[in-house]
Amino acid sequence: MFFITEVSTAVELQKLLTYLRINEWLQEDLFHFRWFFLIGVFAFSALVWCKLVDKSRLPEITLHAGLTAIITLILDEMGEELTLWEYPADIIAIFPPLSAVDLASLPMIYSLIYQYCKTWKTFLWATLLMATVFCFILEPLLVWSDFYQPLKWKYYYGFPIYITMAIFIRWMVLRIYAIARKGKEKKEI
Amino acid sequence: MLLSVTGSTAEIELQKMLTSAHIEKWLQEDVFQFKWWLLLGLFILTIALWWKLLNKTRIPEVLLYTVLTTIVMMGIDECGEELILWVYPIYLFPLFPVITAINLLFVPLALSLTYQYFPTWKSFNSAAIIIAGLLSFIFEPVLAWADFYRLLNWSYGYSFLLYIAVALIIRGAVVLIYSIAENAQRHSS
Repeated sequence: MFFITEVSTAVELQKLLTYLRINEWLQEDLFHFRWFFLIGVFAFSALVWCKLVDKSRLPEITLHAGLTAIITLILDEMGEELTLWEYPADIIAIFPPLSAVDLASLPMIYSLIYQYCKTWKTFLWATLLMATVFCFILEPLLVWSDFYQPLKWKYYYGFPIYITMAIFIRWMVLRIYAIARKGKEKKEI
Repeated sequence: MLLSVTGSTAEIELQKMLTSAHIEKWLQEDVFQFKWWLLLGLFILTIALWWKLLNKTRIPEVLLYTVLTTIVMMGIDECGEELILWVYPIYLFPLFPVITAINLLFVPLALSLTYQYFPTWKSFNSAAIIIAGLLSFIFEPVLAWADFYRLLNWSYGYSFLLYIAVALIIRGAVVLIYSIAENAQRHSS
């Protein structure tokens, strides 16, 4: 009995929260300047990526971008649920938290760095630069323009996370392709 | 302006309450209970089985399919939970519960193996319909019966159509990505 009550408390709270979000989104976000701006960021990121991506390595780069998107979505949603930060504007009212950045900008930038930097050394330098730009230029800009509101968060907290993520995902994709190569060699023998 | 601030604060407060309701319920009723261990076991077993069946020489391609399906299903699952279409009464992990939702695990893994075993559109279409049927008319009712999953404003028929649509669209995307890469490689060589 208690069990059922507990679930329904969460369900009721969720109902209220979703209602509030959709309401606010309809009144203040949808078709407003900020909303078009986010759509623009999304489209621009996607376009630039399509232009720059090495078509002959498309499966590999897309896999990298996809893994980045999954991890970003999870971290971002967790941060929002823990009220570490908040996104006052969004393309769509419900999940994902900041679609334009989570699903487009971040995965596209990460995967392009992966594509251009073929050795660990260049990759690490590029990642360091990217993390610095994200933490100390981009995030303050997002806060200033009221797309992002850190609650219990500091810009530099993100710094190690951006770097760890980049290293982990590169390692993973390389590993995946190494396993495939090994499998093929075994078959040929 | 004032309205925006108030709305945003109310949202943050509600989110705080919801998250603490999730965590509290999880600590009191879920974690280390029999059903929690069962869920954990099911998780590990499923991933192990998937890895065993995965064709290692084709791992980049099949994984790309898995990653894209996971992104789409994660979006759908979270939207469904926020819109109270369904709810997961027991969580493996209380933050962003959707990532450890059993459905999110089974659907991408089952569909990716379908992708691996059925290389032509014709065979894949029939297989996808069968797998979607198994997932939505056998697997999900069993989950609902064991109370791992509760349908609130949803029916198994919707799941069925949704899974078929996702399976076909993602296959289309992966096939397209690989054909673009092949074209580009042919041009450069």
